[in-house]
Amino acid sequence: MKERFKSYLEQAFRKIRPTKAAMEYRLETLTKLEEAAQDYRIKGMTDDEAIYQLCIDSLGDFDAKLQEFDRNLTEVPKKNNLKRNIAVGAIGSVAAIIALYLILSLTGAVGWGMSWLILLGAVVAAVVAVDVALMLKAFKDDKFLVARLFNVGTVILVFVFMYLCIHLSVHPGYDWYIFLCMVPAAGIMDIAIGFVTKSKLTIPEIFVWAMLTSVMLYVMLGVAGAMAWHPGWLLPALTAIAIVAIVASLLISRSKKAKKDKQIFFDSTQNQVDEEYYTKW
Amino acid sequence: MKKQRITAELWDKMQYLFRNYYDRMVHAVLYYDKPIDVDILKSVLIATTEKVPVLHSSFHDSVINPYWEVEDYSISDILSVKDTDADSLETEIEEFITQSIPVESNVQFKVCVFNAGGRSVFAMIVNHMCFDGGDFKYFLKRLSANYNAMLKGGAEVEIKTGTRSYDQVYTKLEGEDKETAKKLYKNISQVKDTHYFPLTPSKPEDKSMINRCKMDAETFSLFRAIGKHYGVTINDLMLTVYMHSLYEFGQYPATDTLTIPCMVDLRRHIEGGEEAGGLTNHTGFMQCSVDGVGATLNDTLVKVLRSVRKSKHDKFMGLYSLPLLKLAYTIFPYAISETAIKIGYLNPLIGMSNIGLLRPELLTMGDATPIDGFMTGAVKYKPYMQLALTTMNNEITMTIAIRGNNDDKILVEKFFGILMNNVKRFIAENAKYLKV
Repeated sequence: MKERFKSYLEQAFRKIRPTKAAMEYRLETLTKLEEAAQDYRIKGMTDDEAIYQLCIDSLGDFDAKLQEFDRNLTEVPKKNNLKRNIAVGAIGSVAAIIALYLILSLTGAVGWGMSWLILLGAVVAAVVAVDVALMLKAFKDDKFLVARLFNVGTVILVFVFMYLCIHLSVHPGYDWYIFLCMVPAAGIMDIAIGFVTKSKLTIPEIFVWAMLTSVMLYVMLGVAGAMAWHPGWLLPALTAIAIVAIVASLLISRSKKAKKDKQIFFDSTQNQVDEEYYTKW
Repeated sequence: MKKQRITAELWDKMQYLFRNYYDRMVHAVLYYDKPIDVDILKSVLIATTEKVPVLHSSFHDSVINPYWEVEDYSISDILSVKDTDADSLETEIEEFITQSIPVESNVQFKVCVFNAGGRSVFAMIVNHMCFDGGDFKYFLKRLSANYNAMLKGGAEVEIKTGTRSYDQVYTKLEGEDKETAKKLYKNISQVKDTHYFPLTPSKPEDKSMINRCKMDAETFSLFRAIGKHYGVTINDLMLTVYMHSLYEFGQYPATDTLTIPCMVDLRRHIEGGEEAGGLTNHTGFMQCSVDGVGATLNDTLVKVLRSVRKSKHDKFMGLYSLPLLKLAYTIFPYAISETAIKIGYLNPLIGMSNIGLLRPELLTMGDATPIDGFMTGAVKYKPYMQLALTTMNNEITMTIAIRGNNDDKILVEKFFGILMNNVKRFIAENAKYLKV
């Protein structure tokens, strides 16, 4: 069998250039064919001819593969080009941002005191991109805690940048609200992750974040004068009461379900014992 | 007088960390057909111990860098001799080999010679921090050779006394390969497999036990013949039967992926092999993963082969994670590095270690030849377990060393039953390939 594979490969590899890489590929393919033959034998095939054909078939369109292999050898520089293009693109983007920053600043279109936000925005965008990439990798590796930490980091970074933009451009009195909004925003993102990863802590977390959000809302509305401090305090108070009520009802229903399951198990056990009592001699 | 200190090598520290998962002892029992001359054995053991200081040292766990301290000892700390009878022989052997030597002890190995019915049994335990199964086999071979030389009037014992450093594993590699191997930071312990061997919950009355099961010479020869027909190793076959039996015994869903690490002797990467360096640990592991159990044992064998081929084709097999461990022990003080490694290291719940062949002709003690014997790794704490295999006189001794109780013993015996049934089933299903 090995000799037949060798002779097949010797013929096939004549169609491409005799390089060292091709020789290694030929050896690799021979190993692959021998292993495939071994697998077929173990699976119960005994007809050598059938095994040989199946192994050769498993290579697919081998001529096309060989041509592609040969072409790839010459296209190695193209791969390097791709890497170079990415590098050039990155350098180009940085240069364009710096150019934009300088043009807007020098022409006076945007004041020097504001234009640096362009540079900061680019840095924040780059860091967020890296953060998201690391977050996705952490998800892939099942490191959910690390992923959630990256999520919080990203939210904080974005909100700080938003604060700077609003603070410097609009000068509102309540721009620090951004930081109060940051807390529920981070919470919502984290809860979303919790749902996706089916974390057991998501439900209790929802209650915590609901409470925090209601407190933040109470403070913001109170400071802005949009809601009186009294009876505005009812907002967090009622939220707390609602949470306690929901938790209590959840616990009661869970306890009832457990009791019911236990009863079903007990009944089924009883039935089994009875059956055995009447049928066993 | 200040005691001599020996640097604790990377694997000494790692094996010390493993105290959280097992008892750190490696065991060997050899059954001889004649009595052993204890006086000669004493001389050989003393001379050997003198040449290998780590064997008569205590280990000191320091915050910055742990170390060994060479201690005084007497032969009675190492060797004991017991006259017993055939009825109580196995109980006494079990009692001896399941003891654990504390790291603070002045000696790190113990030998007991049991004399019963005109025959001797040689039993030895050694702290895994001193050396692994590979060097244990070497140690036993040297012990036999030195014993025989002394019997003929020789006075000099020969045993390797070189470096115990982990980085000898790079000596066979050259150029770019060596550089690449030293950058294999990938943490291969991080392959999550939640399947465990069903044992009872830990109880205070749990004790160390080494459960044994033997594949007789006839079964082994048939098993090997089928393996030869398919061009697969005994290791591949045993791994197949083991994994197939685990699905059956553990009642894992048939489509679950099961990953089992197989211990690999890293001396294959060392220039000079087992004779190089000093007595130490050089063990890595390769992961064997199957994406579900096969409908037949042959199907499972194909799945196992597809997984192990990847490792077999990998010239860096077993060398992964070593640079990561080295880095952790280099940049952090010991106390921090141990915590960091403990966080990153996932001890496999189920493992397999094929210790390999024990050749009787290399283990003779004068005219006493071993007629049976086995070696096994450390006694694992629940939920961890490992199947160890030793081949001797055309028989395979399978051992599962665990800390457990009588119920666990029954479970392990049941598992051995399933495993042996699967071996026989495999032979029956492939009997047509056996030459009459």
